[in-house]
Amino acid sequence: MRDGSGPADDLRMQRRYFQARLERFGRRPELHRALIADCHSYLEMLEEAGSPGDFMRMVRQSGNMLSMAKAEVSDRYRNRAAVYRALGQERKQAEDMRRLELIGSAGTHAELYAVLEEFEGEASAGFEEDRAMNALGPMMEALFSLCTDPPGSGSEELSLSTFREYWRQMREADPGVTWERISGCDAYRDRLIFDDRQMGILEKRFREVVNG
Amino acid sequence: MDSTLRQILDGFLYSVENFSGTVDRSNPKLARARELLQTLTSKAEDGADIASISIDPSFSELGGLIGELASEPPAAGEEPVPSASTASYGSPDEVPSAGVPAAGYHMAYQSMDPAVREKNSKYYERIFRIEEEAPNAIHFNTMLEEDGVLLEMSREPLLEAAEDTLRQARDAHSPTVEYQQGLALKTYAGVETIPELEYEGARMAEFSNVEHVWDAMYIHVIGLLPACAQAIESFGPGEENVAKLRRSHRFMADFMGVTWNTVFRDPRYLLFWNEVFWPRVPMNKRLLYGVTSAEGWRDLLREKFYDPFVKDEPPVSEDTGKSLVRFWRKEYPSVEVLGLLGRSPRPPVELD
Repeated sequence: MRDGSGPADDLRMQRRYFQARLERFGRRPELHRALIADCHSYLEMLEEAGSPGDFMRMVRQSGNMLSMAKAEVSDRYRNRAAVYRALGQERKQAEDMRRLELIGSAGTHAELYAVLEEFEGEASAGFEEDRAMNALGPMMEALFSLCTDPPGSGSEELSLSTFREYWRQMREADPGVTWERISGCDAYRDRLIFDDRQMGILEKRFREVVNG
Repeated sequence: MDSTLRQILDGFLYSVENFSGTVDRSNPKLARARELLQTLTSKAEDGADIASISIDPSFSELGGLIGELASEPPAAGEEPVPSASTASYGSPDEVPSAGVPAAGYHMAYQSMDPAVREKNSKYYERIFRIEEEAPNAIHFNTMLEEDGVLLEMSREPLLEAAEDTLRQARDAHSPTVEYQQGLALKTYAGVETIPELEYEGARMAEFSNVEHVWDAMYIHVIGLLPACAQAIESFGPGEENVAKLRRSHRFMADFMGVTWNTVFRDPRYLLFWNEVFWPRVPMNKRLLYGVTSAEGWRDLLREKFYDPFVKDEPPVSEDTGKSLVRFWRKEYPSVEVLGLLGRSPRPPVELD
């Protein structure tokens, strides 16, 4: 251990800590919005503090760095929500937005982790969204196969049963799903290779199968 | 007592005494934590080394209790009151030693199995060197932040995993995995913060998930005609197989402007055919037909299991106007698929 640190040196080092973080976060400020604001608030405290003890007292009075914990998780979920928005995965985006609300409402460290943990136990919309997207591939491949299966053949029977099973799974996971939603919602449509004309051909077969 | 062990126990002492100022002093977890700390300190003073202390059940129980105490409700109106023996730790006017924040790293390092410990030693040695150099906890935290070792510790396993997967992808000839892992290597190498690492990891994984299923569907659709011929080779020219082939022959021309020739000029399908499908054609079949190459198997299927069954069908022709795919919300000629998968035009993520 090196000796020689005094209160002024400690305060300077404390400032350097937040400045180092700020410098790294500043490279991509859009990813670190909450953390940057938080660093600034501690640097302001340090301007006012006359000693490391003063600073520690101010930190304790302001919630023992709860703001830093909240900033870390806020940035994480806000950034991830943006990824889901870009992919049209609305339910996962909505879940992350809900996490942000819960983070905002937490008044202590214990509450922060408790509300997030409790939400993990309850959240199922994102899981259902994945389930619907996972069912889409086999359902569409079965539909494609139904365009060429000979009527009454074993392959038609197999494609029909595959189609019905995965269409059932899709409707279960996304009760509002329709052909229009598959064609128009990015979360579904991005997974399909078909252009609009090809989708029109598949739609015709889809309606024949679904309507019976 | 070993100096490292002393620092770890001091770290525990600091935490426990800190909690005496934030939770109710009669809190049973706090009482138990004090008891365990006393036991461990006695053992250490009696000569127990760091290895035996770190595997002592009291050690892990104490670690767990410290974690739980962090979530205990604070005692109303209580201010931290340092005890006489811990005044140097409990008072905000006194800066703790570097050993206090470093104790968690010692604990983590000691609890690793030897192989993991050896792999991570370069990071922990850096952390412990900083601890040695730092006059107190404030200096330690700042020096650690400026050093960047914690980011490297998170980033390097991801880079190694991407390199491993990239090697496997080359064997599997998966353009989507190859693109994704190449991108991961480049992206992770440039990140500078943990939040950035988390964001880039989530972004790349989510986009890549979409591309994998898209590519699988493309292979399924574009490969319909050879799949029908292969079914006849495998299961014989039964009525259903022949009818399926004829219907597919007509349908693919109408649906995607695709004929047999189009399929075997498609770079994405050729990668699959040459590197994935052909190597799996059983040896007995290769010997039976005297075929020794992917091109030979292609010609065999066409000459014996495709053309003879469609020769009386109305002629079909390629139509590049119909040979289109939709990829990431734009249309492209299907012949461009392999190139697209290698430089995926992913939509931008608009951050608030």
